[in-house]
Amino acid sequence: MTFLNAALLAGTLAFAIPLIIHLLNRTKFQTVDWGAMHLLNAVLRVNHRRFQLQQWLLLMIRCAIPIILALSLAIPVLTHFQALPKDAPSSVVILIDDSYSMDVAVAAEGDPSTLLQQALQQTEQIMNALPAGSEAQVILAGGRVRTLPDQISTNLRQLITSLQSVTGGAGSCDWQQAFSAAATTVASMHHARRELIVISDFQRHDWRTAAPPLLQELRQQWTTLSTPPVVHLIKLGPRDTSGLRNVAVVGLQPDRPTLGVGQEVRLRVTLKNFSTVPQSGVRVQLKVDEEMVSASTADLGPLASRQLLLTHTFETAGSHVVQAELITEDALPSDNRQFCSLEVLETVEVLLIDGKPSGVPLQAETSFLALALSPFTYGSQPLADLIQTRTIAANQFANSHLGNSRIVIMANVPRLNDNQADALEAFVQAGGALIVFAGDQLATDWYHQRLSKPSRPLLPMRWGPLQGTAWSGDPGDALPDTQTAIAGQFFEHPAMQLFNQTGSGSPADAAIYAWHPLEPSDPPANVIARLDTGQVLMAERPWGDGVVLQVGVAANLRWSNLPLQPVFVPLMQEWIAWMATRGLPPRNIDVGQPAVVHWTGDPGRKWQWLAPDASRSEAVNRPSTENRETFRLAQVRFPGVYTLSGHANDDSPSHVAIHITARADAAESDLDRLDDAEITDIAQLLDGQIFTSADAYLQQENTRRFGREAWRPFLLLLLSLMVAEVVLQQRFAGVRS
Amino acid sequence: MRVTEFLSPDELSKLKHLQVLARQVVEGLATGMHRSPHKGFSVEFKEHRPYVRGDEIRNIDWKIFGKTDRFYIRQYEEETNLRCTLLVDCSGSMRYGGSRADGLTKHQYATRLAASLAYLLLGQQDGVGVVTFDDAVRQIVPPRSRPSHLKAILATLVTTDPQRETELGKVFHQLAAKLHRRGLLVVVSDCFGNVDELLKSFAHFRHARHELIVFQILDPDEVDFPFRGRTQFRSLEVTQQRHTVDPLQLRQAYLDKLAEFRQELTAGCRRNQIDLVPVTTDTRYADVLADYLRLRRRLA
Repeated sequence: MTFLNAALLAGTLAFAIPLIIHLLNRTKFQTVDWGAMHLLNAVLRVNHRRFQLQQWLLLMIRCAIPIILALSLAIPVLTHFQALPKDAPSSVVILIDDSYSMDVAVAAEGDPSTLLQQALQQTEQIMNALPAGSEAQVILAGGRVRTLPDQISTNLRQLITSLQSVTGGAGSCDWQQAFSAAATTVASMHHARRELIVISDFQRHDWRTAAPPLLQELRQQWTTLSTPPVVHLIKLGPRDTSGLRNVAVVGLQPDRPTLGVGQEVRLRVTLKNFSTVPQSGVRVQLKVDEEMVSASTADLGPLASRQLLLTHTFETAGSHVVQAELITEDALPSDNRQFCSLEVLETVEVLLIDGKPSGVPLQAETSFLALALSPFTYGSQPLADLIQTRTIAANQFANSHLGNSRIVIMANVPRLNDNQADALEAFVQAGGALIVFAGDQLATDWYHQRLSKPSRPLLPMRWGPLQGTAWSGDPGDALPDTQTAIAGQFFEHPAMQLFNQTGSGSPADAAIYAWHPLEPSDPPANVIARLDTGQVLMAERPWGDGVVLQVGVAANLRWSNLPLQPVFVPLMQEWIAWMATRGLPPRNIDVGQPAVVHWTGDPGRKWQWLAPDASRSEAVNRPSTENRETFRLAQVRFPGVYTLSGHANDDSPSHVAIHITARADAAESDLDRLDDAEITDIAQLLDGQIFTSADAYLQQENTRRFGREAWRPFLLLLLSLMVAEVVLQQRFAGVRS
Repeated sequence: MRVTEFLSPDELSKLKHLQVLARQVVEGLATGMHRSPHKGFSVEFKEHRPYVRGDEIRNIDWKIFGKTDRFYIRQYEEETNLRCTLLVDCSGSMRYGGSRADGLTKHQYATRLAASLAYLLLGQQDGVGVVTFDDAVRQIVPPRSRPSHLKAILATLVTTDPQRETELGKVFHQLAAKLHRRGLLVVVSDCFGNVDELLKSFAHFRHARHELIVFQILDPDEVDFPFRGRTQFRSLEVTQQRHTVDPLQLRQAYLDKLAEFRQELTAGCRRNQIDLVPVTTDTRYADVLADYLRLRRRLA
């Protein structure tokens, strides 16, 4: 045993004070001439020995009090528990759960701090307690795993400062990735004592990623290291969260992927009550570009979900952010809003190349196509069409017609001259989309020679021989006997997803009289739809930056009645919408995925990324083609809006902002946490220890480094002696309550 | 020597109105206020009763015979007086006087109490005597009913000097042998000593058919033992006897012992039909005496 304040041991000499007082009292007394001496004699005769013993006992207690007090103040330390060299430096990796479930306010009333703030404070405590020369690294496990700093650092002061940049609100933790990163870091550390400290709320949803086999595997990997790390788990917050009230926006979904100016979009907002307490009158606001445009209220039962349908019409083109926000006070404010980025297009220009133009209504090869792509325009309705079509005869087609067209549709075009074919190939190469419909004028040989060159075929597949019999088109004539139909199947292509839903109609309802079955070519194409006969009717394949869709049937009524089917309009609209935005990276991503933006506008802008935590970073252009710039942000850790902002270098005031929204797993809002037994299981698998705070961890660490402080038992003994002295004195004096 | 040296005029006035009636009738030579239950030949007529064989013929009331032609006997009430002896303790233990007793020692209090009683009884033409004692009988003043006898009693009380040890039992046995005539014995003492011996001596008095009243005089300090701090207690009776103790430590044991002593004394007195009156010296002795006498009258 040693003493931290050994000098205070001199205080034990104070035991002489009560002794001296006792001796002085023996020589100092008052004198009383007493009459009832026979009573006093009788009392003393019987109790003399007892009185002496009581006096001795009180004197011993009074002498012991200053001795025990001095021992307590000297802080005795039991060195038997010392297991580590006192000042040996350590290598420490701290894994902090900064997912947004850690944004829950601490339960203590009046304490505004969150669990994450507690985690950061405790990390700072641990850092401050590390011996000089120790090395450390912090790994933030939320969303995408991030190390702080990038390299293992011995500058602990700087590391503590950098903790201030941790804002929380990240997406769900992937503990597999986090532990892998920690294992890599631990393996590259240097000191003999290596520790891995995990600070988390142990949210049940997050820790599903840490399955027992994974933890066992991790432990086995660590045991192969020359110095395996010692694992400590610090659990924050109470285990029982049934009293926490939390309502979240778990979904915000537009009803269409592509949107035009003036078109109404319907936004489906999904709310969920994660608590067992019903919530009534929850107010939801819909904001577009930070401005409130509509609001609604909803009642939510215990653990219930509810969907609200809110609408909005955009008046300007460009990238817009729609936000659904809950106006409520609950335990977790971070999940009270959900974002959605929408790209509103001015128009999508489609060039129709008609192989068989006609002045008679609905007799031209592209008549039904033009009608299906711009139904409101042809219906003279006030609603706006996203798609603007322009029809041109095949023999008049020239490079100049392509202009701003994003999509070109060839319908029953027999052949093109070389210039036309070259222009078309360049168009697709640059990112344009091409749809080729069959027809009775089709010169299949030309197509095979010019557009299906073995070296680089533009067409996805080769035309097969004509099958079936075309209808004459005369209403008096009977329909051909030989008919087939598109096979009723589950469509995997994104543009055909709509037709997998019941109630949306089916392309299989159409009767097909004549067709060119598509035959395979090299490289293989994506088959979109087949006929009942098993033959391929529709196929698609990327070409350059663009894409080509090949349809083995004509877009007129002579080959099929598809143009008359209700599905024809949505079919064509879906295809054009997909092609218009095809190749564009998603604007709404999950946390952990990279944010990617393609820019094909004017070059020479200065680009910056603006993250939800208000941090800015320079956006680096990685050109993929001559006309297109690509920007990529790998570190998407937080749910929210990421904005790519482009400023022109010249004096032009034009400013471009492209928004990407990142969404965390909605289950992160479920505050259910692992119970103590489950955490114990994790600790056993990792061969680790569980602590409830950094204080508890540091207390054990101090014991291991310096031994166990034993002043508490001395203090308790001191208090006991003081109480005993008072009680015994009262008892010996016969004082009764 | 005057009575007013012992009693204030106010106390004298108060005591004058008190009527002391003995509980037990004592035979007396002089007429007084105490009525006898025996009907005989005295001066005050009580009643007539029919003659029965055996009655003396000289007691027949011939005037009634002349009127009624029947024999009746005249009966008279006999008046007696009280013969009281005050036994005042003059031992050393009576010299104690605490701070709460208005400067009086127990002995001073006892002599004033005895003086008060003597004055009262002489005022009723009863005979009063006094005996002072410590470990032996020191002075004896026989009972007389003359008012001038008060001087002799008071002179005896004033001249006592409490110093010696107490042996109540032995002294009372001696006294019981000397006091032949029955009467009222009033003991004024702290009764400190051997309780068994004391009670035996009381029994001796009762055997001689004396009426006994015991005024146990205690100082308040002796009752609650209020001392603090280390204290040396020196005996007032035995010169070299002293104990240096922590009073707080033994207080409870002392109080227990005192309670035991008083309980034994009370039980013994009750057994012998003796009136025991505990008195502390911070109480006005005249008040205590008055209360006791009222109690005696009610019992009578």
